[in-house]
Amino acid sequence: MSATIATRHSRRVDIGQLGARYGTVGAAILIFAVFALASARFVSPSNISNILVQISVLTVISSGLTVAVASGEFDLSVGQVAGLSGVLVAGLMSWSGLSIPVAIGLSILAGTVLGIVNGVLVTRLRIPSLIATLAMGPIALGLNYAYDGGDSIYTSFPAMFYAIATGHVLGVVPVPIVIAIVVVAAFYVLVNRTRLGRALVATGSNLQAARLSGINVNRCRLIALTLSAFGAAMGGVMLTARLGTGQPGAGESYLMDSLTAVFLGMTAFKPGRATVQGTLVGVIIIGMLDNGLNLLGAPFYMQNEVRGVVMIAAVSLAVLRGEIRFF
Amino acid sequence: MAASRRATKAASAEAAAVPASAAAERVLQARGIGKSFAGTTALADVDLDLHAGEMLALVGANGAGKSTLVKIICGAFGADAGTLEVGGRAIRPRRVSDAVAAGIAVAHQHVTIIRQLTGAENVMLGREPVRGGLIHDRTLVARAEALAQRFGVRIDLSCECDRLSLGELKILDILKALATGPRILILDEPTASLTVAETQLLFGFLADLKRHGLGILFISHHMNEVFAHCDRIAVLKDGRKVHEGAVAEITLPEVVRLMVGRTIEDTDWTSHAVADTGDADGVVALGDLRVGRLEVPALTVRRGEVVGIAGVLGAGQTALLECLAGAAPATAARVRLASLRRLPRSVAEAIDQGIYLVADDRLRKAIFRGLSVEENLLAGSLAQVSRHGFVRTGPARGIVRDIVGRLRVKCSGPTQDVMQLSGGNQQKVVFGRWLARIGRGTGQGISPVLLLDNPTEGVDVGAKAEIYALIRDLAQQGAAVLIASAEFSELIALCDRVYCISEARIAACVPRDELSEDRLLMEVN
Repeated sequence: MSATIATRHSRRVDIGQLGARYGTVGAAILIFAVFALASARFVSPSNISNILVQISVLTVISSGLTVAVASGEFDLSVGQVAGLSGVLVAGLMSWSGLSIPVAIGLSILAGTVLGIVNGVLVTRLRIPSLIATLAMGPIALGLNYAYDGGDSIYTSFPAMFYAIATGHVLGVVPVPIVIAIVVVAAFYVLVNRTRLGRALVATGSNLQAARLSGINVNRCRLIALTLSAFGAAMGGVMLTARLGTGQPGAGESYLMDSLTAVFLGMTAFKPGRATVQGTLVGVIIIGMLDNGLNLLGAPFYMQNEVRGVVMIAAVSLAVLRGEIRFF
Repeated sequence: MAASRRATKAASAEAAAVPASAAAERVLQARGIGKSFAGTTALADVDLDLHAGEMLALVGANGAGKSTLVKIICGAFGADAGTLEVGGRAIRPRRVSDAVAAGIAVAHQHVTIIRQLTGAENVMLGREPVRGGLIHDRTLVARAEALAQRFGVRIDLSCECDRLSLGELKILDILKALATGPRILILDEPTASLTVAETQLLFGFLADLKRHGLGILFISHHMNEVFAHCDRIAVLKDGRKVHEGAVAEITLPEVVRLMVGRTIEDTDWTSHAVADTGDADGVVALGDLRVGRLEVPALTVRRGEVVGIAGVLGAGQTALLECLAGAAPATAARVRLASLRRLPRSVAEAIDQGIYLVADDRLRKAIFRGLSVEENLLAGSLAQVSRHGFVRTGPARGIVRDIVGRLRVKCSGPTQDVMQLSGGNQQKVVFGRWLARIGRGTGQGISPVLLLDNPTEGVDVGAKAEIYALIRDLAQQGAAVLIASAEFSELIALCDRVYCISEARIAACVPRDELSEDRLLMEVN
């Protein structure tokens, strides 16, 4: 008999378990340290408060998107949904003369309805969410232009409305930070502590197994896409309060940023899973990079490049580490 | 064990002597092939010879190692041990293209013909002649036709393939494999989806191929085809070759006995069928049910009974169990299923009735990858562990600890990623999902109906025994268990009765005292 070649199976050892869970948090701390060393202004209380205020809109939008991704669906319409709700709230107050709460309520409702439509397209017509929400983006933008003719809505809003962006709770904590914290907490509890959240996560992990476990997977996906649009619409309203005008294209950049934040978050805490806490880390990283590069006087195009690189890095890490259903 | 190995070696040496005297060239020589997956031995010390111009049948029960051996020969898997020679030259295929280059072609069970392309385009797929960067159609058609002519194929290659019959597609598929100019052709269950007439057409074609000097390795569950058309036969049993010799020198019952072996280790079977339950019709009673291609004229399961379904892989067992669990559509004339008089409309409804499915293909249909043991265990009883929509963490954890303890799931804790568990422990978690549900919420007090589809797939021996004990336990407590398994020894170990699927129909029901692997193998063929 000819020579026998025997090879021994080597067991994969989880050396980097800790690194896998907290590597992204470590990266956030590292980025913070680097910018702190490079610029004294970066660590000043006013700048840190500034960063937190800047990322509050992104936090709200990304938290909603996280719920969609956790349930296995993409939502590529968040940017345009945010934009639509942003101009709606401006128009409803200044053109229609509605009161602040009614205007806010209606504009968030309008955005949420688009999320329901997304959900119906995905669950009833069985269009992959990637396609359905990709198509919903331009539809939302079209509605946006139809409403405002493509022009910004410049008027002064009721003073109380600006409080959403510039007010302080107890005279110290900026309102947008409080809103972001409340939204993050609510979505965290939803995903981790509720029956619905468990069902959403199960659906996102294995649709087939979830169905065979008696979970109503279509209901889960519909709710997830609705919540995603709800977060986007809320973010849109906050954005208008901050900008002081209703700008048709204001939401545009939030799609890319929120996706990047969610993907970054998938590399933290529970590798491969979209989590609200992970997304928050992702948002903070993006916020620090934006602000820090600005302070260091980096050329404007650098921010775009960094964004692209961070997204690629995040996705490749997320794919490497976990079993994720990407498209 | 050593003695049996020696005996096997002697037998194979003897068998090899027969065609050598006929001076046929040896095109494939495999020696000492071994392969294990995560500690489970799939193949051990397998020798195989294939000669030019012969058709060698490779047979064995499900899980005997046939497909592993084929995958090693065609380069899809690397072997852990052993050598391969093609035409006297040693090869070590690392991927499929290496094996193709060495002269090995495979036609898989399912046809890989693209129906929108013409026959010629399909045959030349991936080898299109190119001129100036563009496909040269005339050369392509000429080459395909030359190939067809050489092997005596008379199929119109110019028309699109969706007009061809399945038998013709199968022949095209083989012709496509032949376009690489192989010396060895491996056919995996080539007649699986063919009608009798198409099968005859195929065997006529294969006889022609043998005359062209090809060595054909023929894998089939259909013993009659093996005995009618093959020259020699090799039998695998539990990853070892237990026989190799001329077909003419062996009989069908002998082959079946070799495939099955004679040791049946499980002895502690006791019937727990509840004789006097007051529901003489059974908890499950089906009449004239049709799901997909499968017909079920009648099927009954009583309280405390473990009833088996035997059939070759893909005979429709999965669809049958899934339709009972509300997960697949089916039509039925008469249904009695727990308190339902029709098939459940959704999985949720089935679960409310106390009907629980342990699906086959764990990773695809039962396990939530990346989620914790707790999340996996509670996925079927979220409503039961929640109040006002919020999961009650304490009681939920309590249930999880209870199940993990009862099933002896080896895990570091409820939060461990389920994918870090062994296959056996993963399967316990899948069972545990329903143990957590039984006796909670609706369905309380109803004797449960358990539908088990290949419940010990990819599970090691120890966990297998524990799962068997669990199934017996559940039956003892009054559950009605319907179990489909590809392993007949499993059905024999567990069942009071076994329904057998033959030709897309549940034709026979073998009672406990007549159960044997030979009998089941005969019934499903």
